[in-house]
Amino acid sequence: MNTITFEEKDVYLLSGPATIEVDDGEIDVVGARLQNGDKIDIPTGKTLPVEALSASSINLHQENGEEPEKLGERTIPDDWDELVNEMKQNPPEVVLMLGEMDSGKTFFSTYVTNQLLEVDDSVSVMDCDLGQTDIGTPGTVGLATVETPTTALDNVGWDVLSFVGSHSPGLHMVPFLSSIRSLADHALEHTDSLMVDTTGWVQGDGGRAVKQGKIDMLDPDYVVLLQKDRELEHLVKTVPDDRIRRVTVSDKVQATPPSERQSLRERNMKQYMKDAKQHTINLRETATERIFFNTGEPLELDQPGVLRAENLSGFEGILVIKDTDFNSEVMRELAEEYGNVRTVEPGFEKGILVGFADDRNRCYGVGVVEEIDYEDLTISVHTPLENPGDFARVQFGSLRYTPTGEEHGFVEPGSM
Amino acid sequence: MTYQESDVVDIVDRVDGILDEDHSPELKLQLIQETINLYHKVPLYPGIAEMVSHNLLEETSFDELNLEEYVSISSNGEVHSGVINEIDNGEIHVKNIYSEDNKIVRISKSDIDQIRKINEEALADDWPELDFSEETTSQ
Repeated sequence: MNTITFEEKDVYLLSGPATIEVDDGEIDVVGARLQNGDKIDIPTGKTLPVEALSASSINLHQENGEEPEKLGERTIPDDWDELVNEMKQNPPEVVLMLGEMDSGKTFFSTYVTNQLLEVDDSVSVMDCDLGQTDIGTPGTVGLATVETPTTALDNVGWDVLSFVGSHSPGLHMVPFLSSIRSLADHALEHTDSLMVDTTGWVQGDGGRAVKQGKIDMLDPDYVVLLQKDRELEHLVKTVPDDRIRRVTVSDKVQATPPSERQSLRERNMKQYMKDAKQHTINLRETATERIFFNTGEPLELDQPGVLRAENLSGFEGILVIKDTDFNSEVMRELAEEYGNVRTVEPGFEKGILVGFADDRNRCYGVGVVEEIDYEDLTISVHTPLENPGDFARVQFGSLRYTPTGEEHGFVEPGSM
Repeated sequence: MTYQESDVVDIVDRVDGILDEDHSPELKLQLIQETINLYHKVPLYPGIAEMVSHNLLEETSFDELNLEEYVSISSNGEVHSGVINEIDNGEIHVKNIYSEDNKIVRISKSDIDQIRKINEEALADDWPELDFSEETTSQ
């Protein structure tokens, strides 16, 4: 244990894993105000500023032995405080936070959430980052109710998820945007305030479209632009001025390299999957979603090697799961009779990320497909959920994982 | 979302660009095939596939060549594109896989002005975290 004595306004950077216990005075950690006897954890991999609001001393229980670094000034820009003071006087229902990648959106969300907890019992936070997610698992939008101040949103767990199935909303725009509205409804049934932490995709056709979609879906009281200059202004041309708040990116924000993003994603998924077990689910009772398989009418095809065939809707043609190659003559005949012929070989499904959702599209966990028995219509999945077969829907994503949560590739949407 | 918003259009534009580039017809075909292969490797990120496709072609030297690599060789004012079939005694045999007779051209090391090859590792080089080099079995 290490005791650190602060003068008023002193700021130290402390690295996790560590626990801070206030011995005397009052300190601020990411907007959480801690007094004598209060404790808070700094998670592994996080380095956070601790600011003395008065002359204070803390006991620091730190595993890595890294020396605390004393800073010459605050890391929290003054305009952050001005905004949270305004919010505390008139708590908003929905706050949408926008920022480029590596602009410190999650830190800012944590700061605002902790500050709002001074005037409210709980605050909902939605994490729209599908890759390096803090709330939920990779490939999902996560929603958490925060009731006590926290140093990191990945500490607070999650109430419910919405499954998107990709690290990026790019080719999954519709499920992504519907997730946001669905989870916002859920949040506002339980809390008065919702913070929406968004992805850093803010440029290009897709970035503009997804941000406009969020604004339209959420109708936020505040759209907060976390920007260095004016790089986000194009996103709020349609938003009334009195709803826009502009705050500064902290100059202490550090960029996360792509390789580290992957390892952070994998760490999250491995942690989630560490107690996963294999379950078999009857697909006659549980619907499949976001794939063609098991959504059409069974079709008898008089061809060798066919495990299952389905007549899909209209121009979609047919889906054939087969374990032998069809020659070009067979394919031509099928195309003449049925139009579009989609073929899948058994085993293609192995490793696909799936979500388990109720009939209101609220997801309670994810899993990794081991195999589908196309004749018996059952699916085997690895998941930590105890009864995945009780959910109404198995939603198929576009990512592949190993059963232990390592990333293992991609699936083109619409390929089965 | 619209087609334009998905970045898939980047792949179409890239194919269009390859057709306009100053390559032999065979090399254009191979570059288009490799670009499509890249897209299938990272179907969720067509913009990245497009970016990486610009790095598919790299200059190399005779001594660094391996069998089965796809090369484009400038020699005595002509360009020969194809798969390396044999490397022997300072001579390289290049098989044109897009001709009906799979014609093989023999080129001496001393006659070579420039060698470019398809970098099969372009995705791994540029975006290692997205390279899983996994074959899929849907059609």
